[in-house]
Amino acid sequence: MNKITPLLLGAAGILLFATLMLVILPGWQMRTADAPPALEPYTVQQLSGREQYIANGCVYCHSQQPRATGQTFADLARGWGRASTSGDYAYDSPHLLGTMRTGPDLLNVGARLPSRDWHLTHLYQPRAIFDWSIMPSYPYMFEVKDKAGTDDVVVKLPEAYAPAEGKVVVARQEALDLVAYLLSLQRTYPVSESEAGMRDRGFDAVIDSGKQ
Amino acid sequence: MAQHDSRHRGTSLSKRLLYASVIGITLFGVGYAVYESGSISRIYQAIGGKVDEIPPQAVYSRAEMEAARKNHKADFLGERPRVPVGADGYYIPPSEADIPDGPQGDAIRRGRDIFLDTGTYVKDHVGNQMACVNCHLDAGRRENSAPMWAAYGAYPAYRSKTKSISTLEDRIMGCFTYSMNAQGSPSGVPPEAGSDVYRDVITYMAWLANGAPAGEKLPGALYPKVPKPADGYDIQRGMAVYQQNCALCHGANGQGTTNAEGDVRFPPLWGAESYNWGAGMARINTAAGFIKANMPFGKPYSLTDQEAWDVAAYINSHERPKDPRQTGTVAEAAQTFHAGDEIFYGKTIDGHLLGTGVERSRQ
Amino acid sequence: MFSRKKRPAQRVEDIDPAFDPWEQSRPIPLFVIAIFIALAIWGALNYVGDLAPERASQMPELPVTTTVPDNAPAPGADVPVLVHQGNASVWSCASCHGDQGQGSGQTPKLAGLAQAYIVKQLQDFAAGTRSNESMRYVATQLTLAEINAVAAYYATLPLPATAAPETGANMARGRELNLHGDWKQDIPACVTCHGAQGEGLGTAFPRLAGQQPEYLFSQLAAWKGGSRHNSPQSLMDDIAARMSSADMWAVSQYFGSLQPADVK
Repeated sequence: MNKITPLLLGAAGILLFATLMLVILPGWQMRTADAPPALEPYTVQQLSGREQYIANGCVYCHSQQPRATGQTFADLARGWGRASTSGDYAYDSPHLLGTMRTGPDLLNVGARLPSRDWHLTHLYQPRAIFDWSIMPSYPYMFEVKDKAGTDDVVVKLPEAYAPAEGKVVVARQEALDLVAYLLSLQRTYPVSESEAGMRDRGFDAVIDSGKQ
Repeated sequence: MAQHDSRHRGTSLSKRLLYASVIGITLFGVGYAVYESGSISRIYQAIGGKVDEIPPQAVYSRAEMEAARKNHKADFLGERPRVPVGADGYYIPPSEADIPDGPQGDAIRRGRDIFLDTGTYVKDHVGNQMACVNCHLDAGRRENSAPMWAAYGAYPAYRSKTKSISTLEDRIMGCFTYSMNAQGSPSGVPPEAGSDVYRDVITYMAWLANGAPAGEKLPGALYPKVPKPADGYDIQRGMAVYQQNCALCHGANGQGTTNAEGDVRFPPLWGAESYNWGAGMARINTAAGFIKANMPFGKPYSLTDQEAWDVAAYINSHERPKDPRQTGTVAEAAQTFHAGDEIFYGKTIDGHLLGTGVERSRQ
Repeated sequence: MFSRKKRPAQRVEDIDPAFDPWEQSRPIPLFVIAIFIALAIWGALNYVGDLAPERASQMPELPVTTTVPDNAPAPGADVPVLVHQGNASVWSCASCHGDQGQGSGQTPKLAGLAQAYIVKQLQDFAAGTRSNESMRYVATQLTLAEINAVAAYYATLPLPATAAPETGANMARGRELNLHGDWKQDIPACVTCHGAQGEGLGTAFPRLAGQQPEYLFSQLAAWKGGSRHNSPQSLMDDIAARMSSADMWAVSQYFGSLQPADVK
């Protein structure tokens, strides 16, 4: 093979350069970042809900990284919240940043949709609310019972999706945990200057361009 | 292992890098120039893409005029400051933030307050629920809504309405007499000549017109002329237009809208609390011009010419306070003051002689 | 059938000693290096441009989630059941709109909105002239009596305080648009229809003061984009169509920061 040494060195160099710019330098920039005081660590229920989130592969369709207005107003306009900073993921291990937006970004879904019952309905059958939705339904997280028990959480469903006469759909623990995790996804507190400075392009540019 | 040709066609590595750098920098420069020239976004828009718009810049902004004025003071024979004109071709009046401090600024502010809430600031001489801003939108700035910056430089002038020369003060007195229905006010008359009301309003108008040339009819002055449609106008059609486009704000009965505190938010268009028969707005052609360019509020030029004339006719087919110039009968006043006007004054509709007038109920 | 003569395998070198199966290695062409250099310059400038830390001071901070006054009245006996508990198929209003009707994020504050306005919006959700799947789900399953009841309830709720802090540069633009509009772009002043304190006017022009800023922004965007087309006489459609995103954001933030009893 011709010139294999320069070839291998070049390839390794490119990989090293990428690692430097994308991993080492940003990691060094973030080395002093503490968890924001407004961010609470996850409770046990929320953590087990997080496990459900991972186990069901939600990250394949949902991201958790709203973009800055310097890039686009679109994420803000959709109500997905302010651009995230490194501190927002302080307790996220593994992080679930995701890359796909088949469904909406979920980092602030707890602020945007704070209704537990809404989430239960939506998980049980997304098409009960959004008839065009391609999100899979998760009926195995629920149980159809003849009668709700005292502590059972009954899922609110329209007639078209309700089970046969008299039965109710009750959420299992998995569904409740997952919804608890989703409701904990709120990063609406303001960010510190240093955190904002670390974020590329800051939070503006578009906004300041239309000044008198 | 096959041999490889190691000849470099005669140029060394450093020379090649140098040539490549030069070409590379040129390429970068070309790309940057193309990007900065905006042709990429122009092509994108030409093929149908939408770009978030930055408002078009003024042709000659007020800031440029101020700078040119400063330079002109220093160098009188140099370039003269020009009229501030926006991208839409109309004069740019100053904004509220530019009101100066001091006694002049105070007078401007008083004039602006009178303009916006005439009934509160000139209580004794306003006989209805109108304010100047109702017909001169954006506090007298809006082009095609009889802006004050165009009016200021047009006076003194001969007016066929009064068959005499009117100064600006006379003209404003006329507004009080007719549009503000001074005859129904506590004093029964407009503010007297020389009143501070005129002083303040004229100062406000002068400030708005600061930079606009006097003596020429500026684009955007008065209301646009809407040619009378071939079909003429029809009150019934106008009623339909009114209900679809006007009733939401001006009320199904044309009495306007007041808020919870009793302030008038949208003015009445007919009846005792509206302008009287002497006002220019009572003429159908004038009202059609105003409506075409300014109404519904926030939707300029949304009505067709026919709709504007029809709804103007409908609005002006209702009774309103009488013409203060009337001394004898309505017919005589119609002959003397409204001959040749496009107006229902003196005409009988549904058995009622328009011009008889209505009076405010005693409060 | 031809019989194949078996020939000994011949080696390439024997036929053509100069044969080289590999392409001659040529030096990298100049224009390739030039493009690489141009891209490298662009990338480096981009990276350096992105590092600008001073932009942090200009960021539009989203307000802290609204605080709710402690003296809000406890739900009385005549609160419709739907508000706090929902029914078998409809989630409770409060589960998204908050216990005091204060809303959050893109969910609007309902407290203090005119009853007829809320009723119209619910009917528009059901009819589809206003696009929101969750609200459509709710509105299609409510009877007119229920709609009137919840609307009446929210219309009489006291206004929760807004806790949004000032966000700097945008407030001036929002205030300007509210008080004077931008007539050069045919944007009228908001106060003309929505009241001098943003308190709304009648049933057609809702209260804006203290409303959730993200909600206001989303609705302006919805009018501009066409997914909401229930504005009487398409007044808001036209106005929103003339506003830039920056203006919409500014005016939303401004209204969101107005306290219920704010003065200009």
